Amino acid sequence: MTTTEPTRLLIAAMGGEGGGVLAGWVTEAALAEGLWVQRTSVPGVAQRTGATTYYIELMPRAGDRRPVFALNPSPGRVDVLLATELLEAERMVRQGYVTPDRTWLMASTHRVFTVDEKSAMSDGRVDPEAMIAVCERFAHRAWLDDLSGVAAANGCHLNAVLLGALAGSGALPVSAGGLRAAVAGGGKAVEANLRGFDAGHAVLSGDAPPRPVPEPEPRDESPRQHSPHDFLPVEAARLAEEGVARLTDYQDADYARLYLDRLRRIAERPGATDAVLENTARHLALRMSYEDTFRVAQLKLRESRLAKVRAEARGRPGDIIDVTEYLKPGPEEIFGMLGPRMGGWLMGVVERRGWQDKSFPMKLRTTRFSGFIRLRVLAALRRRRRKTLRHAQEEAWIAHWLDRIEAALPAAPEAAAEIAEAAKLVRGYGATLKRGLRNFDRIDAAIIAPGLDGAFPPATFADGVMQARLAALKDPEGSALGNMVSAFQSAQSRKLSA
Amino acid sequence: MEVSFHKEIGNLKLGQGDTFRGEGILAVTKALLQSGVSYVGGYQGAPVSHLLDVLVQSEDILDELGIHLETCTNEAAAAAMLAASINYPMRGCVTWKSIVGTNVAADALSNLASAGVQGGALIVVGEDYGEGASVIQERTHAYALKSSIWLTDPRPDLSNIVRMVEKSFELSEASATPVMMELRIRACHVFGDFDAKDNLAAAHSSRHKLAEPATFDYARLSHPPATFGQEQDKITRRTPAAQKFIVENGLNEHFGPETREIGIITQGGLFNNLNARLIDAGLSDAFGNVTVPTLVLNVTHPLAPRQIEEFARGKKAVLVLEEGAPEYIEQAVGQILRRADIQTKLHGKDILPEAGEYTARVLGQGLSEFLARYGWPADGLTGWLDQVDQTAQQVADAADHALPPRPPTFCTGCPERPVFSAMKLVREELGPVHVSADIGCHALATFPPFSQGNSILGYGMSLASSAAVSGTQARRPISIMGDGGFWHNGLLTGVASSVFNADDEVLIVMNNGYSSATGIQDLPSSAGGGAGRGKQLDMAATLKDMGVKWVRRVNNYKVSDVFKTLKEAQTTKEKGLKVILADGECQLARQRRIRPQVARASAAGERVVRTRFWVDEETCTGDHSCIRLSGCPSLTVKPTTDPLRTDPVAHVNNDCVGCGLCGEVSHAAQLCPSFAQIDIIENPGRWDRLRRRLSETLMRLFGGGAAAPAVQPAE
Repeated sequence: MTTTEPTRLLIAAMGGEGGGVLAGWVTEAALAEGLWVQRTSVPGVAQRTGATTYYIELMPRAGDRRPVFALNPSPGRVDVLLATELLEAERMVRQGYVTPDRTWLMASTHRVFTVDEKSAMSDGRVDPEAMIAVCERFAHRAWLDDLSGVAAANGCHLNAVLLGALAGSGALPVSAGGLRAAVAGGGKAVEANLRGFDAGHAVLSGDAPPRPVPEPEPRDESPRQHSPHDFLPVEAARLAEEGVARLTDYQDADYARLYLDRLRRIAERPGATDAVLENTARHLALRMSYEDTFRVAQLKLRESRLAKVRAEARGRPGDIIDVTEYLKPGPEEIFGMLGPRMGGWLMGVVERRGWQDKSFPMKLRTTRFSGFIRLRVLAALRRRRRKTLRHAQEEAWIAHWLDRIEAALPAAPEAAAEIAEAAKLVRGYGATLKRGLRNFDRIDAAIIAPGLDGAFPPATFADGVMQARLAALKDPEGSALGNMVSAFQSAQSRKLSA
Repeated sequence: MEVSFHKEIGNLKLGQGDTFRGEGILAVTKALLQSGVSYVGGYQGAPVSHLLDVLVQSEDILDELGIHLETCTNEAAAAAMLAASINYPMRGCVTWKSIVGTNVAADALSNLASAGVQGGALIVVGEDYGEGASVIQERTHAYALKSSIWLTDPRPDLSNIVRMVEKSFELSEASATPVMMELRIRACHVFGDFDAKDNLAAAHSSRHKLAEPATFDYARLSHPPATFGQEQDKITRRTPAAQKFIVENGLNEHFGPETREIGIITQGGLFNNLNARLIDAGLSDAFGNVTVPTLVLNVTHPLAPRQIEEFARGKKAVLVLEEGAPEYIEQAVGQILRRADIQTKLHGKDILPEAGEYTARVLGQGLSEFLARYGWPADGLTGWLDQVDQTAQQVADAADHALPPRPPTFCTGCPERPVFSAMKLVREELGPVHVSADIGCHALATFPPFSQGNSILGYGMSLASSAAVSGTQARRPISIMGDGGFWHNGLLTGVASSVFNADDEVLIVMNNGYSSATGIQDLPSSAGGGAGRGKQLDMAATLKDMGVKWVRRVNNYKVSDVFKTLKEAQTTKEKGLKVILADGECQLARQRRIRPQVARASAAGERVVRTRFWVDEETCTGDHSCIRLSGCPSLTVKPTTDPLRTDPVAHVNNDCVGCGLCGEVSHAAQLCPSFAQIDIIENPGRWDRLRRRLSETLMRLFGGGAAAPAVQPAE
């Protein structure tokens, strides 16, 4: 019996990402250098963007005796692990394929978010730092870097960069030249792939110059009128400055002053903590710059936005870029632009006739005059925004919300901070906005109102509002919120009767 | 077709003295050619799709060898094809994915096995079991047992797989019985090499046709009274002949010393992974020099009793390594030992789990327990197991965040996604309905963000599985089926039956033009042309001829139209089956076709419009409703640059193929004004440039100024 061991390489990727091509390159290179090599995979339906793996065992030839290679990787027995994405790298760690005694882990730190992460109603992303920490802790050696950035810079796929890194690491009994030759012999996008290979190789073989650290963007430190620093703590004041800038752009300096006055009113209440003021500064600015038709028109004509389009479009010199906006205003958006009396009367008609769901799909080409001029007119009309039905409705909501925050002070500052934060639920357009308003009303009636009446202690009050906000962000149907509210209510009535 | 087999086709032409390098399933294809087959057929399905795919692209080889190739409409058709070997001394092979394909083929298989064959008949099944499997977890072994079909499970080394293909034909002929070869997923995809032989042309083939049909022979019919004799023949003649052949030709392999106090009997397919654990235990090496007697069953049915007896005799215990439930081999071994009155202790699923894949850890644990019971030191193996458990514990302690799963999803721009978006919108309006799902890419709608489907009963079975629901539910059930499922089975078991019984229900047929989930093979309704095998069979006409009165066609990407049509189907007073043909070409196939065309046109200076979508992050409020209605891989999130917001905003990445779903959904669902379509006009014409200049001038007049994205300046 011999004690020779094969080198075992596991590649974690997502279907359609080129993991199979990467495994193919390694196989070709190993064959060309006369090694024994075996490769397996489980493509199947996982090819369609799901998580998948490729597994290779290889061994230098010594005589004609053919080795018996395993078809499956074994936990604790993987020498090199390549991962094309951070979460997939950690998935391999979780499955035991990355161990401190032997595994050289090379992975890209960029994220391709899972459906669970990206469809969450607020922020469902897994903390990348936590993932990197797990990967680094269990690898014998770890090299984690944003390879997708390197690939983009070289106009190639990430798999070529990863192969280059593998070559640079010297972790396989295959020469870097051999791996590069496999790419060169690949036949498809060879030039771009070789660029990517060389970039990856340079990083891990220590030939690459250190990457420049991006300089922080200079902040505008010039003093502004009506500095919120006079009456707000540092972080709240910073947010308030952003708010002032936004609202001046949104409407005018007067409107921004109204914002500061409202903040000052809260700040002057006893018990107004940093959290209360930060949350209020943030959400008051957002609620006061609600996204109405005028605002959308204004934003869509921004030049900075068009620069972004150009960058995204990756057009070549000489290409013409057309932008078509998908808009579909409903009755609220359209009649909301009218005065409260006229708009209110028309909305009444809409409701009586059951036309709430009627809307007007439009595709506006803002790069053509016909589309541009319509948005231009709408954007100009924003000057009379403060006389519209929508504004009256928003103002009423803001007034109610601010009253609630104020009323919770000074007795329940934590609850006040949570009430301020609950404004997060109210955002967006159409059905999303209606859902947000509905959810807030529900929390307001079930928890905030009794809380202000002293129905339960301040800590319960604050916790209830927070739990309700999180529940409202669990599912769009509102069932988590419904469950939370009834559980909260029955817990309170039990306490009362006890 | 998804894969081009240019290189592999070259491999199929290799001869004596050449080395074949490639995947396991293509090695099987090559072995068929080396075995002188007259005909090949089957139905695509992972992991055996490539067997047929490569042959479809190898017209010259088929022509030269006179092989008749049939891409069957389902597995029953494929199995029935083997009837040619009942009457004629012709070798034939069919293939499909098992267990599901074998289920579909079962009727023909029983009849075939009863009649018996003259020419070697081989069925190559992809045993879709364990990691990466997409079907119910059952064993093909059951079919082999009940129909008396021989079952091989070759040790996954390409030379051995090829030898077993060649020997299977001989075994089939020696025992007048069809042979099934079971290949696990990884064995199909394993890349290795073997020494090739010359291809062999069959005596009877499409080049050398039989002048006359077989003479009438009642005994070859699976019809009474012949069936009674055939049942006897299986037991008295065919089985012993097979057992004799298996032993005499050394189909099963004995590794390690002849006698030791313990031994292992393993399915051939598990040998390599067993060896990895034996290495850990210090009982083998990288070359498979095992020091425990090991009987590798390349043939798992029938067993040769003498061989088992000889192996077990004198040993204290044997371990049967057999994946999946029930433990047929262990039962058979037990019966052999009992009848021979051999007192060797038998282990198998008493120390290994009864169900589930034999992963490295599971196999290691079972082996370690077996060795320990008989006093064999296996410190290396137990050390490894301890280390695996310890690492697992440490990882669990260190990683306190949940790791979301990443199931497969519809590809970027998939034409099936918009239909499910529309279904979700209809559900919001009309309330939930019972949904019968089916096999195919559309089954991915069972995963988030769509998470729908009440049952999956088999390929093309969705409509049939709605039958009793349709009569007992207030709202009409919806059945989803692909064009693949439609031609495979759905047309008869579903549509004909529904019309016949006047069921009131809705069927959506995803007409994407191919059998996409299995690797984009052509279907009877595929467009054909070029190298395609499609015959443009018209589904709408077929449905109408079958008596379906309500048939609508929708363009899937027009979500509002799909929404309206679905709503109409759900609410119309018209009774009976309502079929919506949802048209949209498989985007994977489409991109593969048009990308090179577009690149060529663009390089040649022709006017080309490239479209993609874009999210305006200034108006996106980070609610992600759009993602919950789409789940497109290119519609994702990115950090917001808005200092006042914290939630990530929606973002369309550069993989976008411009299918337009995001825009359509934002319209249909009245979501938000954040979606914009970007059209990049490459090599614009004179009219494009003039119109642009005109617009710019006008816009500047009205304060637009630099606002218009002008012709990009030359860099």
